[in-house]
Amino acid sequence: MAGELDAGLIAEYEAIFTYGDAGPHLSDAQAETARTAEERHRDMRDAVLTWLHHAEHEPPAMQPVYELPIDPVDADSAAEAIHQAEQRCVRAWRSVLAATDGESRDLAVRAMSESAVSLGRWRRVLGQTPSVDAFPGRSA
Amino acid sequence: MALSGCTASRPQSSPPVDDTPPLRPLLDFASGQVAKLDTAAEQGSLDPATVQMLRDNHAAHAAELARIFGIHVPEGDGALDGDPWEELLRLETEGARQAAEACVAAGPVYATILGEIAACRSAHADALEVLGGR
Repeated sequence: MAGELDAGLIAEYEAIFTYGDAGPHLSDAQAETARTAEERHRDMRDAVLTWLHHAEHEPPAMQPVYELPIDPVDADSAAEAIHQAEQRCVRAWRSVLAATDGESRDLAVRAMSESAVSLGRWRRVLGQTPSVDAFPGRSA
Repeated sequence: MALSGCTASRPQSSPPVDDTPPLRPLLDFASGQVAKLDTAAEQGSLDPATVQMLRDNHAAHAAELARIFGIHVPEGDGALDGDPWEELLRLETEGARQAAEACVAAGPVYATILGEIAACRSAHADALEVLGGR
């Protein structure tokens, strides 16, 4: 059962990497949104790793580099890279829900909700409407 | 008349488990939010685009949940007590918790849709926070 969180954990790793890569290119106004969101992802990563440790499951390792679909080179591309990372997080956590239960599902739904909140914030930064989907993470 | 003691018997199949009841409060909440957001739209004190987005999302939840039950979407209570922004924010926050708890308690069949609704309601509450009563 513990292995079912791996997809979500990897998405958290990728999101943390994206914030680190994109952060320096963001505007001052966007930077505060990014700091808050990155901190949330780090906290969620740590919560999942702690749970996996107690479940005696070896977690996937965080990679030193992740290939991003968008190379953040300025404020616009940085915001879009982050937006896509949040979308991937929502989708990844959604994908594990049915295979989890109890505490692992609680982690997964919390992580999915937090990423949906961040996703909404970045869509508003990018001027995208609507900023919240009825069924976050579901393919269109 | 000889009674046969041996009949071709079929294994007794267990009755199907109905695991839909936990979804009903979420359906009622969603239809209630649709009605309340209609009230908020009529009152006109909140950003119309945000109100419309929330209404559309709750209507989509209500429609999908009603489909699961095989019923029409029930009519919700549109009464909004006090400050509409405060009330809607309080309800979205409570609604997100309701859906998350239902998701954790659900079997695998409904875990995903309940997680989707929980995530959506969480993001709604955040969108309302940003509005700050405007």
